[in-house]
Amino acid sequence: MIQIQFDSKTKNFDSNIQNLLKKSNIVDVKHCVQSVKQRLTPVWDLRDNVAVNPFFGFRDKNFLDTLCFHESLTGNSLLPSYKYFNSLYRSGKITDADLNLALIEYNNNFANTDKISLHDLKVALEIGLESDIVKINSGSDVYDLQNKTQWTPKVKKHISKWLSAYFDEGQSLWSMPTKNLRLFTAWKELVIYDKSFKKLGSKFNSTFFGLSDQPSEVIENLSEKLIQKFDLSSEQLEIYFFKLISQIQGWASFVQKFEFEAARKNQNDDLIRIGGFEDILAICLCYDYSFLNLVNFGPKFILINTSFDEIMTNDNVKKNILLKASEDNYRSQLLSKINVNTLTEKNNFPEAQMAFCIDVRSELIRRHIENLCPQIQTIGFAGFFGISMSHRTLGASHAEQQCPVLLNPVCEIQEISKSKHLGIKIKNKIKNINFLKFLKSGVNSSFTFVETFGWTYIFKMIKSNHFKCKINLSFEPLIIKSSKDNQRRPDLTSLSLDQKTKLAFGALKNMGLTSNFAPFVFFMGHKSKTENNPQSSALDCGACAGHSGLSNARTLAGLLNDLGLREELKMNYKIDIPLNSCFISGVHITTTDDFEFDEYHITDASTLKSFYSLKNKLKFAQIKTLKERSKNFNYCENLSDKDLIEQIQNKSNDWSEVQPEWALANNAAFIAARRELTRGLDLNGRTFLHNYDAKKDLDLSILELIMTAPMIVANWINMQYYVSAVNPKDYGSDDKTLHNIVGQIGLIRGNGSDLLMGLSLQSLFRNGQLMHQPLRLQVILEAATKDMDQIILKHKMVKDLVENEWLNLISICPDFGSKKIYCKGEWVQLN
Amino acid sequence: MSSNLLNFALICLVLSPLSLPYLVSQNSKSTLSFGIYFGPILALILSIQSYAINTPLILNSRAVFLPNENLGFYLDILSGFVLSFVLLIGAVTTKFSFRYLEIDKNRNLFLKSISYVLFSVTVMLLSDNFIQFFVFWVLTSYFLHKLLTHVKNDSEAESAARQKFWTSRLGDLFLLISISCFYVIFRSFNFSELVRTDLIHNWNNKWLLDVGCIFLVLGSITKSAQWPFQSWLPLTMNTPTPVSAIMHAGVINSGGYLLIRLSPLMNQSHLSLVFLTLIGALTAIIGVMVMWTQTDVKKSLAYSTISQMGFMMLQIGVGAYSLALIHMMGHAFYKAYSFLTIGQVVDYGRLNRIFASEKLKYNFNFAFSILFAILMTGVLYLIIDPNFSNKNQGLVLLGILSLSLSQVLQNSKNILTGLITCAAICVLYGLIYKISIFTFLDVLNLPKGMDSSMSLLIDFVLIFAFLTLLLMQSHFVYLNQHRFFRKIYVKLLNGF
Repeated sequence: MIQIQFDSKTKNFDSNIQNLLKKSNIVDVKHCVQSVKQRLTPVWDLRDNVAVNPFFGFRDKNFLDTLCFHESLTGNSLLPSYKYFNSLYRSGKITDADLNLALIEYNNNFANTDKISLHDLKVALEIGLESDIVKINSGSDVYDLQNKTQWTPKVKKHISKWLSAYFDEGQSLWSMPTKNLRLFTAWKELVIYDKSFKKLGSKFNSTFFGLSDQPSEVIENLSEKLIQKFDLSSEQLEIYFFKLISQIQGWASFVQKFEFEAARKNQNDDLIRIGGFEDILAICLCYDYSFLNLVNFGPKFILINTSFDEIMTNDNVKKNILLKASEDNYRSQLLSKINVNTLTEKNNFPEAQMAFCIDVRSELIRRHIENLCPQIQTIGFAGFFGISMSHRTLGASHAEQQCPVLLNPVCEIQEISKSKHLGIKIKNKIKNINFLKFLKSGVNSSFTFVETFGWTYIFKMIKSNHFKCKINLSFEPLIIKSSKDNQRRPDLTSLSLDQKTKLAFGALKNMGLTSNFAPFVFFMGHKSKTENNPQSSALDCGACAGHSGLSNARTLAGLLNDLGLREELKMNYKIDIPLNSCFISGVHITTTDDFEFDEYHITDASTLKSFYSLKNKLKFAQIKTLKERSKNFNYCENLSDKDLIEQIQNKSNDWSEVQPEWALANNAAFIAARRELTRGLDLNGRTFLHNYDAKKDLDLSILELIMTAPMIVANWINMQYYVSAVNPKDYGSDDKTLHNIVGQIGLIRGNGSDLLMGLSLQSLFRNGQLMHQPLRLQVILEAATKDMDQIILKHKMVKDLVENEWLNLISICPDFGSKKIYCKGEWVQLN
Repeated sequence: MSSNLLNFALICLVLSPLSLPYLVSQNSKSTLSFGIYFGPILALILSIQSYAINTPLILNSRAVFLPNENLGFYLDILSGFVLSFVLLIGAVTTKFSFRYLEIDKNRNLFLKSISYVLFSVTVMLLSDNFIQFFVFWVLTSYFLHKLLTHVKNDSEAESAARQKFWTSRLGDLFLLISISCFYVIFRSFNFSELVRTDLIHNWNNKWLLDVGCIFLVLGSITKSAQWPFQSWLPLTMNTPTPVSAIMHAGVINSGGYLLIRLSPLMNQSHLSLVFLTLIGALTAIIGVMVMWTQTDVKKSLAYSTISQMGFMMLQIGVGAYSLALIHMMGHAFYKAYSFLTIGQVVDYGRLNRIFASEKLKYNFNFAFSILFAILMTGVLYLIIDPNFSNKNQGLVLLGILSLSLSQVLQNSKNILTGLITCAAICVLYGLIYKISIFTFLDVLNLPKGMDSSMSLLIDFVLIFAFLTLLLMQSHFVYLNQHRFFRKIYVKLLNGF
């Protein structure tokens, strides 16, 4: 008796101890959620489609490690294929010398691992055999593997369906009944009626009943059950969360945008309304948990069988060396061009100064302008010209951001026009558009509409098909077009003189334009003109949150043409702008390389005359640029100048055109230096050019700004191109011909898929050839190494990016021109 | 014109779709590139010519072999009219595809497949014989299948194409049954003999005619994506956009065309007409309701197609054949254009954001709508004289027209613009209606001797249903609070 009692007691005791032990090894679910959330990068929707580095959240981890980890999430490679490297090798873009150099570096750094020889690399290149990637499986993956079903893509589609219903901005007439609740609750209230998973039985669907209102509670509850069932460590749980999020990466990143903006603005109204990252994770978890409920496990089943560090494959190590070799090759060629000893003399009395966006597309036009008209000086600066603003179009009720998404707009500029009717006209036009939409989509009226007005579409169709005219409605003509007298311009009266002066001073100082003002100073924003292109915003100015840079240029020009403000600048900041200097805003249309100027800035006739003669000169630069660009376009070979311009114009107006321009394809380097360093050099449109003169930047504030803003933006663009080129399926937006637009704001593929991010195949491939060489950004700064060290120390973000090989940082010494590269905390001399 | 020349023109017309892949690859400045409009213009000219001399243009093989079968081409105002707009849409879409599929390695194959689809549609539309019609009906479906599976290694596109494949085969089966029924009755496969109504009256086995017509309806509604055979259509989006344009604007009309072509037969079977009316109305209602909830533009357009096709079937069902033809054309142009320009939807999204205050609020007044609709129906009845049939069948169409007028009036900026818009719509509608009646007078007869009380009942039920839909459409906020409607919402969101 006693024995038995004792036995049962010890048993009790044992299980108690086990419980205690488990609790001591407790997994902090909240912490896991937080760390996944911090690593998720936001994306912006089609309305402000700016490039984003999808791994920006992983910047504190090594480049290669991050790629390997994400490969195991999606199962697709994130480094270029051997086949691609082989083609580079054959075309001389990787030489044996480059390979040797990269190998030496690798073998030095990883002395304790197996050495890789040149022979190994060459064999790999020749054979091109890629080993399989071991994929981490989610619950639905495991279920699919066991039952040979295809539920995982279906689940993705279903989550995507709910999210598009929730975030719909006007496609559906009957919007989600629970839209006013936070995302998770909205989903929870309706999912119980969803019969899509009926086939999987009641055991599957039972998860969705009786859920708590708080997503964090749901995550905690379900995770704890999983932890017990599968004995997960906190690292494993984190990886599991990553896996879940990676299945719906597009929408999760979209939700993350709200988190990002709330943190940036320090105001979380939107976030409270929609919920946030936890909501989407909870939804994913509910589905996946249900699948795990159905799966049969053997005793040795492990849900997540890897950790962050175990994922490196031999192939990726080799490919990384190859990638480095190709970067070395490009860098040495670029640096050999930049020769400090043969500096061209700076023209101190230019006829005109033209400030362009740092965008790689400006490089070509700037080069041709300078070659044709040496009396024109060009300046490279972020396309928002330092004016962090939001812009309210004429007649509009809401403003749009007009500065990098990293920054908060400091002021809202409203657009006005001399004629009061224009605003009302625009409003009426919008009303009519909405009314027409209502007629087309409503019950009854849609039938009548088709019968009475359907035939009118014959003319529209033939018009857009053959005559390359503007199609029905496009954002641009509505916003921009107006007659000369009604010229639309920003209303600057809302700002105080002090505010205005500060804005103007900041812009001029950071641009490096504080003296030697030319009679004409142009601020050239840029935009692209395309038809019927859902991703058109991606072709616009990234520094203006994916919009045209014109309104910023207008604002700055308007400010500086104000004589009172010039007085103020002279008094307070010692910037003396001569009376005869005229600031003119304009826009560089990147599809046609055309310029549009705002002539309203010019008040007297003689200035206007010299302006026109200048404008005519620029025409030649346009043709030269087009000729250079046309090499990369189909149907543009061997055309006369006139035909070429017409053809390019047609391209931009064609409703069926999928490759209107190459945008930032093949970007490879970011150069912040005096223009004299790069003037006259043919950089093939691959470089972001930022003006920077270390001598004018004694307090390093400009350098700091460059390294924390434009450099980051360039890194985002560069990485977006990189991932879209190497893995167009998961990180690009795949084939444009299948695109479908969801909620009027996002892209999905055909029948339904996750929200697509990144670039389409059409923006990357031409006749089967990649137009963008995937490599990491070379950041070349004309600044002393010690100054850069100071910035790196100050900003962890910069330090992370540089140290973990997300970009290469190169210094050109302003005094002696010696070139050094940052390598693991040290500056290594380059020859 | 000499008959040789006309025959030559007819052969040119039939072959014209095959030249499209070559023509669209020409530089858009060259004259050759305008050759894509040759087919549609020729079709229009020939149909007007045949209308003017009041004899169809016939070219067939009767003399050569199968002396009983009219294998060949038969072009009258009906087939010529439909052919001209299908070819026009085909031409525009093919031209669009050329640049659109720029990076596609199989672009030539794609263009060829489109031209084959158009070719088979042409021969199908011009056929005067059920066997020929059937063969090219199947061929159209075959080439369309090739287009639908154009994207390789896409399991979703494949499964959608498979679903379409089996639905089509079911439709083929229905059609075969109906063909055999008609053969038993008429001992002929030729349309021109089938539609000779004088023969039918001598025939007393009426039930076989009903069976034949019912299966004819079934065959047509599978092709035109009507309930319950609609589910494949919204799933076919994993294929390049031009395919959707050509499918939603061209191919899907063939069911409706067949029914209109054989309308003299349909007129004899009131049962099948009523059946078609109900199926059409049900599809129109389901299509509209699902469209309300869809969040992506392509699915939205797909369900819009379904509902518009439903409405067209409803029109055929009540005997308004010429209106159905006009609807078919209007919808084809509207839908093709909408598909080809989906890229600009994003512009709407951006406009919606910055002009948020200009959003249209849906006004709806139930009593006003009813009163207005009754009043307008009466007025329109007097003005337009809806002689769709000799009885009350057109009433439902007028009812729907009146309801949409009341919508226009209630949602206009002010009463004056509303009234002007309404008046404009009425005039335009009346004009189009009169022209269409006048044009197709000779080819299309009206169903006679329908049970008037029965059709009146159907009219009122349908008008009431559409009124209810209108009521729902303007009260989503109210509906959202109820569990029942939330359930419905989820069902509709999943595509019914």
